[in-house]
Amino acid sequence: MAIRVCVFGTTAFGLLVAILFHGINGADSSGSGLRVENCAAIDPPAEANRGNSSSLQEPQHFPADVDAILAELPPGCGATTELRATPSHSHAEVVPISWQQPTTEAPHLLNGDQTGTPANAPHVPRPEPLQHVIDQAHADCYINDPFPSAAKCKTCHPGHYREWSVSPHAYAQLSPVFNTMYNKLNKLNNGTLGDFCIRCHTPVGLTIGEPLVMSNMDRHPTSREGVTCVVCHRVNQAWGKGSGRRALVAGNLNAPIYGPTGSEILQQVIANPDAYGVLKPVPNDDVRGRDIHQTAIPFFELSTPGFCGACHDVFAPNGFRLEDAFSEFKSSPAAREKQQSCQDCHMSAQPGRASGYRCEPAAQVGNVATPPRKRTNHMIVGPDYSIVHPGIFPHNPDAVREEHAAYAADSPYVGLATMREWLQFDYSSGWGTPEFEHNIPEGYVFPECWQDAGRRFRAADILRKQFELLAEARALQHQVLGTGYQLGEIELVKCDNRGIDFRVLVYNGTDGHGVPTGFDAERLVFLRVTVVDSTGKLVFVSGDLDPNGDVRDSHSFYVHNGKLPVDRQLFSLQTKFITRNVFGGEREQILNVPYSLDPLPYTRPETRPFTVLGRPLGARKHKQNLAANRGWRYADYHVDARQLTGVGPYSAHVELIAGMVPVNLVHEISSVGFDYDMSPRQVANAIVAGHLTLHAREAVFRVHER
Amino acid sequence: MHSILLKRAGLLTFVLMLMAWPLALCSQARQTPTQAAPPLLKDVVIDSQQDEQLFEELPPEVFVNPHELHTFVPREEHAPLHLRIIEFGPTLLTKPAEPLARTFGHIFGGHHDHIETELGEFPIGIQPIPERPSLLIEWNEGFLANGPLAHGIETHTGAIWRPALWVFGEYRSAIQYTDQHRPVDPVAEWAHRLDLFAQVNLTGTERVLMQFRPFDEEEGAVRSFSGYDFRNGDGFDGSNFRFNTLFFEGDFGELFPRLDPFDSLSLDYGFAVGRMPLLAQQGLLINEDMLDAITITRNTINAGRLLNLRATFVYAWGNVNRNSATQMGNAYDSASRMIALLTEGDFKHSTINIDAAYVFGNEFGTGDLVAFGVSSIRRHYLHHNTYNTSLHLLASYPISGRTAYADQGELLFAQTSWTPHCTEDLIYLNGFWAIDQFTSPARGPLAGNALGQTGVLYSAPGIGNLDAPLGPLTDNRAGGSLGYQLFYDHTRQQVIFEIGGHKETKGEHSGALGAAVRWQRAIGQRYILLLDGYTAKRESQNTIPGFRAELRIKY
Repeated sequence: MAIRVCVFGTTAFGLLVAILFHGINGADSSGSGLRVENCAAIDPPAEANRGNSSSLQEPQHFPADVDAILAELPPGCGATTELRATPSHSHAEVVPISWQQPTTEAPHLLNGDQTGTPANAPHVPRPEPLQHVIDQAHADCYINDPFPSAAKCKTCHPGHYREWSVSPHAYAQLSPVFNTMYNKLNKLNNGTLGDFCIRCHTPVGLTIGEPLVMSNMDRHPTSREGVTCVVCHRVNQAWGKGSGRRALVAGNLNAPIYGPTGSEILQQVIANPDAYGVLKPVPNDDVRGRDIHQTAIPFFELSTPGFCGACHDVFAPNGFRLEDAFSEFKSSPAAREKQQSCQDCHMSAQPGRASGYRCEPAAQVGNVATPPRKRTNHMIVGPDYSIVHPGIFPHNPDAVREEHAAYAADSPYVGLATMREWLQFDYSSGWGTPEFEHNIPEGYVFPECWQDAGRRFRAADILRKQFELLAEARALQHQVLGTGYQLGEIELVKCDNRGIDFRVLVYNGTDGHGVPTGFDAERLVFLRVTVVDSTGKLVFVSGDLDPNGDVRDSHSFYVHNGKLPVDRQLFSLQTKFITRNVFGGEREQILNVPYSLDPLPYTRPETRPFTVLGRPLGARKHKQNLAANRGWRYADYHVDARQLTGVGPYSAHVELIAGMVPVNLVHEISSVGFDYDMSPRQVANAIVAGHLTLHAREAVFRVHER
Repeated sequence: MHSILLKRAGLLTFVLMLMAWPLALCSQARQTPTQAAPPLLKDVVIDSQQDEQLFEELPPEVFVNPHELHTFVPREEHAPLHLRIIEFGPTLLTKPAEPLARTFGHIFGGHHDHIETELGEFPIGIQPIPERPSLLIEWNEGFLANGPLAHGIETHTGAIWRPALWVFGEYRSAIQYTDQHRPVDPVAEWAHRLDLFAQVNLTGTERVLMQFRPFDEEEGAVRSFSGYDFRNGDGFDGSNFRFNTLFFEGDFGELFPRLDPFDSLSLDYGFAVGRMPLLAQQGLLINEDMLDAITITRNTINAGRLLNLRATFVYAWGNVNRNSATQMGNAYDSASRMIALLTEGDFKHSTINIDAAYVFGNEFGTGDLVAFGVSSIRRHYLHHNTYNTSLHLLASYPISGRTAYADQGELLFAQTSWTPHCTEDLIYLNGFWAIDQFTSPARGPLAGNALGQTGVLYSAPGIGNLDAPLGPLTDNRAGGSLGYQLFYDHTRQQVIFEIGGHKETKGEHSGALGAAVRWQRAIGQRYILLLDGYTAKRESQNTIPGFRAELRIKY
């Protein structure tokens, strides 16, 4: 009898709870009693959001061994001669890295954030073997220069460089959030994640054998440039959906590059020294002239969507479909009906729309522009924005100086200060501005490297240009995201004695992919809705932030820990990672590691066909984005009658806000530390400061007693 | 007459299942935003100039950093009565979680994982990360390894292949004892299992995967494991070099890129062909580890508010193991064939799976069967906590007459779980109700019965001759489990405590109750130590004791 009661009690309760939960819907009622009148809408101008954020060398595969490079280099090559005199294994001859230990005396803080801790924390020396690996990789790269820095390309392509330098591609490896998230995922997977993630973010760094985990401030310049020029223009095979595992073609600046159009204009330029000066398609120290790539080999695939898809359709070897932007595109009207490409919208004259391409010179050789041709925009803005010191990003060889003395001579980065020095430059206090410099408080202490007032002035001047470029990118980001996300009018649904119900339509303005797309599980796009009464008192809010800077969804640590209620009316387009529990179905997690199933999570090839389920057994995504071609969703809101303070009128304000990542991600990954000595709080504050309001709507509800 | 009716009902169900998604899509398509919008009241109009003023009057901080709003908790957010009533049960069940965590923490010396609310204020610098543990064999290219990548070979179709061989796997060794009052009991054995995989990787989407299980072999409806029997002092040998898995998997569009040079034809159909494992409805409907089949999959299908629909067609021509609701063990049916359609789509709140399968049985009595499963998986954000639920409804209908392996029945399976505040822990409450004799279309010999998802007490360990302590058959039975999964030492040490039971709803109304504890711990980068202890009491039988100690090594 006891067994019977227990069994049926457990069963019935379990079933009842599950069925009850499945039956719960949002507030929904009918009736009458109050009446509400109308609404109207506005859109903020893009400007409103500006400044809110703070010999014909054959293509060759790059071998790790310098000897192999030596063997493949053509005879007569100056670099070869030099290299043969310095065997690759004699790296002990390379001057040891002299780490510049930042002073610990400076009282000023990273980014001027007074809540943070000093950026100039002591640098802990690396273990000797690791340091040797780094030195070897850098020595190989500097001596041979198989992957030239974008800063070298800048000489003839200043326009391209300027656009690229502030682009998400240029930021890909510098991002402290990316690096920490990757490190955390790798740690949770017990190191088995290997180079997944980071292979796309710094293909050059991994190709030259840099360690997976190290500060960007110690990486090779081309490595920290992330998706730099050679990552696309030194690829000569159509790799398809390979999650970024593409082989790069090694070669110095003179080696061929790959482009969509071929070499016709380039050969005209090389053949015309009268106009363009002496150009050196082959390295020759005896001739004074400008180095140039010998030829541009046409590579058709570079201009196809599939080329972008190699990195923008990301699925792990265990079958997890992390990103499927390219898959979304392939089934979209833009691809199937209009035969448009990714480049048509994202590299066009007006990014965000297939608006055609500019016709401009591709290069500026000396003071002479080359003949105009199709010119793509390389800024390719997206949802990410920089949260690092503006001296470090955008990339700028006039700003950054190579830190390691042994390599400084060959580096194109010969700017004002090293990255570590920039982190100590407190621009937010006004350093380098006349207002500050003429009123320096008595006893004010500068770090040793910034004690020279002239240097501070030069730094401020550089930062002014950096901010201008960041603002330009910000405006373009507003344009692109504002095109992708569309907000309808506020619509009254009903008003009765239970309160006011209204809704607003959010829809996809593109026909090329969903929004958000790509890394949609960590893209925070939400509505902030406030309703105030006639006295200005706030009577309703959704989409507000907790003290960490999170919306109050289930991932907010304030909500999870029961300190704030969940925002049950929150409208968010963030896709959620879902992990399988050992028992009890699935749950949302901030990171997609199913540790409930396994105390030792491992990333290994999926042992069943991953196409069948489209995912591994342990984790998946619950997509929440808006499908391409006007995919839509209503955001429904109910203001309870008890919240109303009288007949009104009530003003409702709705904003559609795009954030780079949610702050809960910062919290979740913070245990493995951030680069640039940033604290989790600093990272979170910078992310929230970068929230971009794409659209806004206003409505006034006039409520009358019946 | 009866069989004809059943056959028609089964076929009708199958057809309806196939039509379910198009119907769902049509219903979505009919509800366009324009049609759904109610008429606006127009007796008050605010001119645009006023709107502009409203916008401009708001301080810019409101748009970028409204931290101050967090202090406002609207009245509506206070828990409504119905939410408090609904959450009363889970709240009550959460109470023992903390003392349980403390108790086990003292016993095992683990530090219970606690989640801080506030962000850290201080930088800690980049912390060390474990090195990549190598695979057993990595040829031509390391698996996710750092370093330069080789150039690929261009095939005649235009695809670029970079072949690599990766050998990896998992070794399991378990000492286990139980006495479930079966003819073979008591079992006291030391059993071994090695899952050895070899993948010939060609691209990111194309690969050939092979699996050997050299220490255990499928012999008809059972698997025999290499090991040692403590009871009679004999060793047993399951050694073999048979392929358990051997399939090719790829993406049609990636295999033939020249067919679509501009990427405008949407040819990305995934497919797999060969001997493979197959799972549907989290293993409730289909759970086969060795099926000869071809699958064709279409992903990323969007329509209206339905997102990311995935549809897979399966045709299996061999190695189908048939399941029985009334007999222990699953039967190998060499002549069976199966077709199935497996779908999954995301909606705003739920993920819906609708799966259907039709099995053509052999001439010797296994019979034809149609079975389907529908499930809804979602989270519910109530006032106090977030609750994960999944609700599965499965049904099977015999087409050519009822047999032990093709029977009529329904299975309702519900899972609920939630995480207490400030922890990573999990509390789960699962329940099932099997009406008549639900029969899975395909179920491997190690997969046990369909109810393994219910809990520790219901799941077979997958090694040796142990069955699940409570492992009930799916014939007119209801049951459930309540368990706590507690995490220690950054999730590397875990304890599961569970109680559960079931009861027949027809016939003798016999039932059983049980309790189980599982402790598992990761050691280093490759080892897991696992201890299971349980006791169960079936009506009219002596108590069932059980103990397992298992070591797992990952490569």
